[in-house]
Amino acid sequence: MSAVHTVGIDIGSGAVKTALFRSANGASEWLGKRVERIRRREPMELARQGYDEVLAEAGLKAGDVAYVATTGEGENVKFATGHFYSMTTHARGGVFLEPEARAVVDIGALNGRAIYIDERGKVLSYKMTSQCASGSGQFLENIARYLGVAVEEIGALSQTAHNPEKVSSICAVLAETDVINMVSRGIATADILKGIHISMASRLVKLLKVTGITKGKVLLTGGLALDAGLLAALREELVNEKIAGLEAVNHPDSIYAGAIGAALWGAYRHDKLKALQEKAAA
Amino acid sequence: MTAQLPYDHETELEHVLERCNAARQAPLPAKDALPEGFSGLLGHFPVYFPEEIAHAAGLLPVNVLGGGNRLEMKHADARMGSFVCSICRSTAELGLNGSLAGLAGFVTHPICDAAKHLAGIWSRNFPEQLSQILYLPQNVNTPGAVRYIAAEYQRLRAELEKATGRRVEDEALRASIRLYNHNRALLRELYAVRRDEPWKLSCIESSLLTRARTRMPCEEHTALLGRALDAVRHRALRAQDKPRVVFVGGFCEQPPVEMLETLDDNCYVVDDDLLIGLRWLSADVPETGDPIWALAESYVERSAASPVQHDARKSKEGYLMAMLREARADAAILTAAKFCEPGLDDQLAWSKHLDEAGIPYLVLEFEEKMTSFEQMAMQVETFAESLLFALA
Repeated sequence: MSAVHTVGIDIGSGAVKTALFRSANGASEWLGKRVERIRRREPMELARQGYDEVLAEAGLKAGDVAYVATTGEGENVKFATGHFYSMTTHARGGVFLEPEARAVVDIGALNGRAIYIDERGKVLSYKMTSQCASGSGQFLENIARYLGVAVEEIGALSQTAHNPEKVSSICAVLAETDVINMVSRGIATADILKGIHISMASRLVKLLKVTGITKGKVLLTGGLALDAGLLAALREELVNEKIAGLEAVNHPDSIYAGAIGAALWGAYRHDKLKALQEKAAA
Repeated sequence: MTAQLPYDHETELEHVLERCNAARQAPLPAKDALPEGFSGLLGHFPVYFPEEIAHAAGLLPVNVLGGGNRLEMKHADARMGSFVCSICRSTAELGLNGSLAGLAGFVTHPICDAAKHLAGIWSRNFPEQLSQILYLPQNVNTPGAVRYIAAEYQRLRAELEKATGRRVEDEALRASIRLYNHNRALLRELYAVRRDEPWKLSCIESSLLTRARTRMPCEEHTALLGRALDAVRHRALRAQDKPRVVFVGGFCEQPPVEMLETLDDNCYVVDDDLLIGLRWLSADVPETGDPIWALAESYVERSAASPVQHDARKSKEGYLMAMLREARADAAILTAAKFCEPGLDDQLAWSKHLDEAGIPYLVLEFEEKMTSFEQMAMQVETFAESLLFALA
């Protein structure tokens, strides 16, 4: 079977991620990627921009792409061939990045979810955070801004904490009030950040428990996947909750999991559609 | 020589849809702002109403489709039980809050107990308006069905003549039939586009285009449909990899636009029963001979199907399967308005049959006043994706 190129575009609430793949005979090669923070810009335009850029970089034209798959909030991307639910794409992308992953914890700007998967990336069960944003990247970013800390410093700073102060893990508004009180009480910034990480990790571990997973690697994906403070807190919470069989890990390209999954499912659908067409023609 | 700007079909369609959406949301026109040729407004409840008779009487037929999800209920709750469907309660509210004061009359039908009893609420609370129940037959399979309907239509014609003081001549009725025949032919074309090239026309656009007839003269609506069809056919949109579904259950109370958007985002809705009353007559009504008989006979012989009519020739399962087959659909989305007895009844029969036939389906419940769609969006998204993988 000849090689096909597919593109996955993951439109999140904080960033637009794009991944380009070449697939042939069941093997997939990752050719290009782009991530662009939205920052009040038009996500559809950023999707087009990312798409054009990954193609240009690989020396490809739009006509060379067999399937453009969107995920996240990408239903209305006009040049897309199809759209996949972000649960499925994160699961598939998670297994691509970490073949031993048996759960994906996707934590993005507005919500978090735990997805229990099998070795093919099939979703076995899942649990999402409810409407409250206290376990989300946007919440963490807001707190960092109040504390005068750059987003990229959050993880390292959190790991220097000695006496973390826990905040409400139920409600973002209460948590923000907690933080304001802590600042006025003179609590160290590192302790506040670590407290928030623990609170978020505690929510994520609860989600994981509900999915029914008991052992295997848990891959962090989404915008907060590379927050070393959150990863450390998650590992600690797994120990505290006595879930010894789970190992939390991340991957340098965790943020692309949704886009990767979309591109790979796009290749799968392309092959199936082609087979259906050939069958119909025969 | 003046350079001519290229004709932009997308802009044209946008203008038509804006007009349709504005008509959907606009209050009823005041007496001195009625469209030319009309002396008043005649409200009628879904599902089917012979609009031609009102049109020929100089009354603009206004299909009263409830209050949507922005109407505050202040009066109706005191008069109707909380177990009554939203469209009946919000229609009563619209009457009681004065929004329908401009109607010369209101006609309902015995499609269900709640709808039938709206006529009683109307006559008690709005004695100045003509209040009527048009008794369409429960059983259309008897030999006397056409004669019975014709008698009901004659009775309605006489009531409208009395209310307007204007005779409804046969010739005027035949002229109205011609207009509505043309309009229905265009609606059939609209649905053919949905079936053959669904990427060119979404369910929500089609619903807006169809619904506009409930609030404007047929003549204006026909012109808008013609413009829309031309623009749609020229649309440069490409097909996407989405499952083809048939959507049923929107025959009376209308699903909120957000719900239709959710469907459009994830599937191609290649056929539906939204506002089926406006498309009830499935072929042209004879334009010669006795016009009342022609309308009555068409109701029996050339008509669609819905949960509010019992016709031995169109079983619930049979007509859904025909819709699926003719639209080449992969699956069905079965919905019913909350507390809608006819809708829920059919939903059960449909589910059972689709289970037996091995056809995938999703059951959704809606209410015109619902405002949260996140849960529904997730259900539809998951269903659509399961179809993509199951059908592969």
